[in-house]
Amino acid sequence: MTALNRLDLYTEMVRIRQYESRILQEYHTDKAPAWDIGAGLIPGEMHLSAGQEPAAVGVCAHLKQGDAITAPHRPHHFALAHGVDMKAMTAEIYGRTTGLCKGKGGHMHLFDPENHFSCSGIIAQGYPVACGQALAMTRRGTDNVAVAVAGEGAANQGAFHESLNLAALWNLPVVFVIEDNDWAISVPRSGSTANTSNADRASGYGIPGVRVEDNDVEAVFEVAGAAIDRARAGEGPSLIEIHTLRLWGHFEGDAQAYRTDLETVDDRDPIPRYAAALTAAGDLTDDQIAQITAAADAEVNEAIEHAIASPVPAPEDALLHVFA
Amino acid sequence: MTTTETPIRRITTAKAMAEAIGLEMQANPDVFVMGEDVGAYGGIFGSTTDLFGEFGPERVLDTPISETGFIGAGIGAAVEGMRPVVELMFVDFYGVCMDQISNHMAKIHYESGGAVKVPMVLMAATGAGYSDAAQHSQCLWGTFAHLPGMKVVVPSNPYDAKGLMASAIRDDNPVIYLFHKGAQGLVWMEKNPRSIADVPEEAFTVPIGEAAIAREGSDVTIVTLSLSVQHSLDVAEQLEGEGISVEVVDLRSLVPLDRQTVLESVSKTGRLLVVDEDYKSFGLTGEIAAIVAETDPTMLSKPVVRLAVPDVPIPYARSLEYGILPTRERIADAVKGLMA
Amino acid sequence: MRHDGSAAPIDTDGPKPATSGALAAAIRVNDSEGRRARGAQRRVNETSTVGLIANPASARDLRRIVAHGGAVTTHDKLNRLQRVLAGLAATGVRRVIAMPDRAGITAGLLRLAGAASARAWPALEFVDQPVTHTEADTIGATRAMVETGVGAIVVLGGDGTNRVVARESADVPLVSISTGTNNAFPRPVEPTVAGLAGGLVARHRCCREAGTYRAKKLVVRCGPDIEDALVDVAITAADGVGSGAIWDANTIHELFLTFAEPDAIGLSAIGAQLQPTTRREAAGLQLRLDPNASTVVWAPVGPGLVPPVGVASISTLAIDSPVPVAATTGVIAVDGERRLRFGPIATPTVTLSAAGPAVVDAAETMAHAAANGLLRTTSSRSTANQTPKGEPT
Repeated sequence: MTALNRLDLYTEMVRIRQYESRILQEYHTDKAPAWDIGAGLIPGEMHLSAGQEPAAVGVCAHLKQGDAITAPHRPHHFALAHGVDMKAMTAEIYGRTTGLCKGKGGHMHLFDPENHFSCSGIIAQGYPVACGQALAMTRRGTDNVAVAVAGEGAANQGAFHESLNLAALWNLPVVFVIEDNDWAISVPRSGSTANTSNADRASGYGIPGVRVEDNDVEAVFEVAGAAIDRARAGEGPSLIEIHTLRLWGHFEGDAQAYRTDLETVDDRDPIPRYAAALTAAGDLTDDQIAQITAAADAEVNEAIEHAIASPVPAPEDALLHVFA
Repeated sequence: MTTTETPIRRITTAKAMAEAIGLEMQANPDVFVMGEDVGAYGGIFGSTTDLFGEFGPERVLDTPISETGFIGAGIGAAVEGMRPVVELMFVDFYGVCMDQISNHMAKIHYESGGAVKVPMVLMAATGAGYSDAAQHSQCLWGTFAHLPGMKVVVPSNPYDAKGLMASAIRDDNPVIYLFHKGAQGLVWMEKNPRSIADVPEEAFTVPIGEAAIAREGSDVTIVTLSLSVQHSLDVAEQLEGEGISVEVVDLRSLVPLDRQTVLESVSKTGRLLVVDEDYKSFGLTGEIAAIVAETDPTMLSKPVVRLAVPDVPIPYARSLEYGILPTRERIADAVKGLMA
Repeated sequence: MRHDGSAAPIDTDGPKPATSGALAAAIRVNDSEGRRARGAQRRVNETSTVGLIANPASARDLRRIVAHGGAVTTHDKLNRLQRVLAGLAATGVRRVIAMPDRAGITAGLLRLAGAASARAWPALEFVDQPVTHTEADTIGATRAMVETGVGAIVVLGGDGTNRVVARESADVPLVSISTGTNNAFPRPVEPTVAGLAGGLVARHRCCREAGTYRAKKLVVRCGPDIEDALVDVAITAADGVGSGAIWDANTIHELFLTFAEPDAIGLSAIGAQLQPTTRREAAGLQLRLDPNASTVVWAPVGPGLVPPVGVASISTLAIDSPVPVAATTGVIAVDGERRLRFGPIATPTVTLSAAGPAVVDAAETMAHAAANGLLRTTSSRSTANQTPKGEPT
């Protein structure tokens, strides 16, 4: 199992948070005063991952070259934690020719084949794809693994259940990750799900199911490490459900009027909590926090400058890339 | 059509498909097959006959009845560089897995700005004529062809079945390969003798995107595909005795569509009949008519005639089913109508 | 890292208990006497009230992956709760106060309470408290039950759940039903029988005297932090608290045990193979572990895990005698769960205490009930619709 490096975990979480915070700011800047979702340098829906950093960082810390991730519509944290280039990703979010997908994908459709990273805007549909990637890995005799990520709302999709069955049946090296952020847009789990534990559902397919209750990066790190090691060793798939936190709206512009837990959200932010724990244990100083944050800000700034300076695709390029 | 020196054998369309897959599997370890009953059964319509015995369960995978799961898995394997040949048993089952087909298989290459390739074949049985009713008798090729990002091939005979399958497997794009149950040459279904034909033993390809002139003629062009090609050829032979010279264009591919061959034929005959076993409205017949209209409507001496399923689900009772299919009789009547 | 108690409520889903008063007015979904409850102020004989704590998160941890830990599904926990309620009802328990959750148990109980088969259940209420899905829920619910004066608390969980309940349960007897991963503390007992035993203890002083005992516990002090354990305290070389569960015996330097039964699962099984120690004797065990030691024990330290464990020394641990931990850094695990990192600044101590929770021994309680005829009646008429008279004959 990968050795635990607390500072690395903290640094990566801060890097993601600074990124999302800046995207949040840039996204809204040129949509004022009148809100128009299609306006501005970053148009369209925007699903930011603030609060869910422990899931991505704890899982991706164990991944190596050749390991795959299929992420859902809220993909930035997993993309960054998995090593997707921040500049190319940002340029894609800005719809530029230098983007990962030359401006054709956007923030819900980020593809980085070098890092075997992809995401899909359709709920739970990355699960079967990850099974196929895992199938290819075993067929080629590698010890790579595929990680499929979805939210708790996705676990009612047929694709989720078909994938668990397929992966268990074929003993595929897949780790299924459920990010339970309490909300499927506006619907709480009790309003959508008869069996509220996805760890139970894993049992139904004969694979181990673990729930990590408290959005703690070290807990995620440890559980993910065990699940990924198990998959690498050819012992088959596992499911990890991480009780995490949607710090912001489902998408930017979501007023969250339905949300009864809003006033407690800031207190549950996992990053200050982790910083406090590390500081108390003597593993982190205020100076280090400042340095780590400044370094993240600098990287984010550079990525955004790169994106804004990059060319906008020519309209006729819309006709390219339908076929290889 | 072939310059091979190896002996020519007469085999069924089904056997030709399986043979092509087997040859590609021999040549490339990345090729594998999965689907429902493709293993020991050999495919409900024979498309994987004998492959399980030759390649075993590691490369010919029987799947659960779980189309979203295994078509999605095919996509995942393809993006990792494998070349899966995945069977959707009946094309009618597209409803339970269309998201993987349309939103993923067909879009990933484009969404990724060309960075990711999905070299996958999705084959499915199509077609009516044996009272399997509304949920097991559709063609639906127009539906797939309408949605961008998939090549769509539809062979009408054993030779094309083999050559198009080889091309589909070697193609770097997702290819929908639709075979008509009535053209498979199955022993348990009425078949046209054209479903058994001469096919070389060795591997060869038929290019995707090239229509074939299945029969040359000068009076009327029939543009069609799949089993309707066999019917149209029968009609053409019959009408030859009545002094009508029919040219039959077998499209073979819908995406890409060989517009040039269609236009050349129509410009020669001046009369166009489009025959399609898919639904009539918003489909192939309208598309072919539009190509002619957009290019030069004056090449037509008569208005286009479209013969297709008249926008009803496929009914069960034989009398009802044959009441809506493009039968030889209807094709012959339509040709005569154009000549009147 | 853990935020037990510090987390704010997540008021996201699940049935919402009514709110009037700290506890009295939670939801009354059923009244076993067939009458409508008359509001929150209705007087209840608290000896006919039993607390119910079912940990929705038990049997969900990492040991499912690394140690073949079994899954006890929410559905199965609900099945067991229904059996408990049947047992409680048979002894005349009229009211059950349960811990609320938003993970399916509360919702399931409310759903089931409407079924015909639930007509005989005690009235079911839920503690009016925020749900955090941390151990704060267990602590708060136990406190509320103790304040109400319940006659017993039925606990569904593993060693970890019982440990948290025991911190707050004071003199209220615990009836523990194992639904956890590592279960040395809860003895195997069928839930219906546990319900009967719990109900008898709650209702009858005599049962309590005959069938309950005071368990031992271990108290860990480390600077300002205090942790209790019901079975074992392990001093480990683990790098952090991580996801909590401990399963690798090779990382353990020292082990403190309240009891050591040779047929138990968990770390106490190591001591049990050398010096069996009962739950009731006034002593515990202290072990030093060393992979190079000449004495090697094969013991079931976890589900599916029987590793060789080198034991350098074993000695008796006396009551109320603090023992300093030998290691200068490490992580302390209590009842199989890593809880505290410690460094050279503060040396933790471990103390065996006789003042653990009151615990129901179901076997003894049932034997007492049999000897005293508590679960039989002597009327010649049909007894189909009666509950046992419940007094000694």
